[in-house]
Amino acid sequence: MTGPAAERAQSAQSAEAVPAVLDVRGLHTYFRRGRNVVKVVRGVSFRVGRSGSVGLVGESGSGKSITALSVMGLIQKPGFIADGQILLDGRDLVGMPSADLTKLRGRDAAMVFQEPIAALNPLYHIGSQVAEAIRVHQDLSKNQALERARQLLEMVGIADAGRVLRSYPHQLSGGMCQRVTIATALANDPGLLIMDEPTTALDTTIQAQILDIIADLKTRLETALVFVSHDISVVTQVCDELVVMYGGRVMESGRTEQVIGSPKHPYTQGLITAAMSVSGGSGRLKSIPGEVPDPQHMPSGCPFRPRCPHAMPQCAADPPLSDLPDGRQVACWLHGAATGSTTVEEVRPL
Amino acid sequence: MADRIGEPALADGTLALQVAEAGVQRPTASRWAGLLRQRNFVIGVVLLAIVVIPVLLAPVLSPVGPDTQNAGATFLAPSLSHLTSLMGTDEFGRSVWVRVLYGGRYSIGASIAVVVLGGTVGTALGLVAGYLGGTVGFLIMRVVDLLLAFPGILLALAVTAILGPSLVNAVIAVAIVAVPLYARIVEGAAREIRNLPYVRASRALGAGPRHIIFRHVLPGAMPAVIVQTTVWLGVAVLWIAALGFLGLGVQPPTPEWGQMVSDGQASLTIAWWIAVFPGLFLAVFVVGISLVGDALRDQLNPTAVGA
Repeated sequence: MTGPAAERAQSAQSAEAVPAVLDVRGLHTYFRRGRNVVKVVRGVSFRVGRSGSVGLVGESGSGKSITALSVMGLIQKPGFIADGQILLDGRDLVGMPSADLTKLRGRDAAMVFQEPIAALNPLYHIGSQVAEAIRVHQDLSKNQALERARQLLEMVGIADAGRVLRSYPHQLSGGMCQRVTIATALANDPGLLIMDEPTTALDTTIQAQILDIIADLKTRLETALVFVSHDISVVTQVCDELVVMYGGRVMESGRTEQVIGSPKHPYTQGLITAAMSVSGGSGRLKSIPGEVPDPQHMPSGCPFRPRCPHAMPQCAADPPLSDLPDGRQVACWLHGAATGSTTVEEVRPL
Repeated sequence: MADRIGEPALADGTLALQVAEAGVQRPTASRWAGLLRQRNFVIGVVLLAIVVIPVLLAPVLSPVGPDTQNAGATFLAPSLSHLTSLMGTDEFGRSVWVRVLYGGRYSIGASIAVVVLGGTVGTALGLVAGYLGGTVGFLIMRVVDLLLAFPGILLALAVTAILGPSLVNAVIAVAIVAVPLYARIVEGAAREIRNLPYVRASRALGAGPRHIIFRHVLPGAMPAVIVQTTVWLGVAVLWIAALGFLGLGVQPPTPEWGQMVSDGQASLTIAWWIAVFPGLFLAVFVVGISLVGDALRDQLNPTAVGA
């Protein structure tokens, strides 16, 4: 490796260990609003290896969906990626011409959205839509594409694929439509699959089925998965690693069992306590007091500071995302800085 | 969770089957059946048939040519004795019946040309403006607004005055009036559709702008375009006739309904049939088209109240 490639390899910690399918480094995504710039994503970094799965968790407004859309190159005006790198199989998507991005979408990275029925065009039957997604990237005849579509639907556990192929979206249930969109996303064997709240719009029982399918696909395919959800209990069922986001920043990241078993960041602790109090079912529901900050009026320093039970004067300064001895990362003055570990990402003056 | 189902495919499949069997209709086939149940549509089609079929069969139903003069048979009143004088004859002894039939070919043909021309250009402009938005869309729509600011007939008159009187120029003039109306409707639809989740999903799967426009945006805007087209088929016939009436359309001796009404106006007191029959055909055609257009609008636009 020479030149810029070598530089990049140096700047990334442990890049040599497992080649990452997706490597997001210091992503900043902003939106212009009038004369102001709203900083929705402020320096997010994470990586997903082959067969790996990362869950982006956080409340609404934490910047997790915008992070996902940034990775797909789907940020539209007035939004823009202000800084950072998005390396997909080593190629930086930031600043890539939109024609190249279009070719890449669906083939190298695909995305599944929240509303399954709305994600399908009501004018075409399912077969036509799945076949179309295949034919955008593969030179197949209509019949060959339909045959492949049938295989894809069977792969996501649709027993009567023939009938579903001939149905219109409004004739199918939400769960069935979400299977179809998952099958469509997998149509061209993408190396990376991003799912943005894929089960949020579904009934709890259907949600469990879809999660089963995702877990099953994960064991069978080598596709790297980024799973975006506000529901930490859902993410935990699917993902090997978690990235907890708040106020456009990464608060904590690490292996799922570490983060869930012993959350270090007060925000993660709050999320887990709230989720447990819902499923536990006894006594009062626990919630995190206060509200997610408006990205237009983000507090200085740690964004969680106004709601944090452990807030201290030091929190007015940005806590760096620091490595802990057990391999995870936390952005909180209670931890990383105290243990004196290295700063992974330098803090940008905002 | 106890209610997690071991065989998700089956459980969900039966659920979907029930939904399908609950009588949700297929969009395409049922729409046409629904149309036939509408009284307006049936009446409109019958009226159109009354006018259009004879016009299409003009050569078969004409004993003489549309320009054949007969100096010995001028101003004959309508009579059932002979097909030539079914609707009487004009000041040159030409058969009004034959001229109405042939005139319909020009009137209706011109109005079809107007909606094809105006509809295509207007729809294309609307698609580009609505899908791309931004500066390009802004500029297109301001030009459209500018065209809309003129009263239509004035604009058409101005255009024919510049281009010179002829049927082709009349078609171009009326098409120019139709373009901004199409553009505005399609632009609105395109702007709405381009932000729908299925378009976003399609984009996320690698569909480029051209694919999205032709596969998602244009088909989505089609109902509005179809309704607009039926309305404009009727309007354009009237406008072509109006331009013909003012001498800015078809030039004599070519028959055209508007121009025939204009010619017959001079002798209205002694030979009413020269102006009345082309006017009657014009009226029946426009009413028929309007009824069909209404029915189509009710059928294709599920959000419309009433129907």
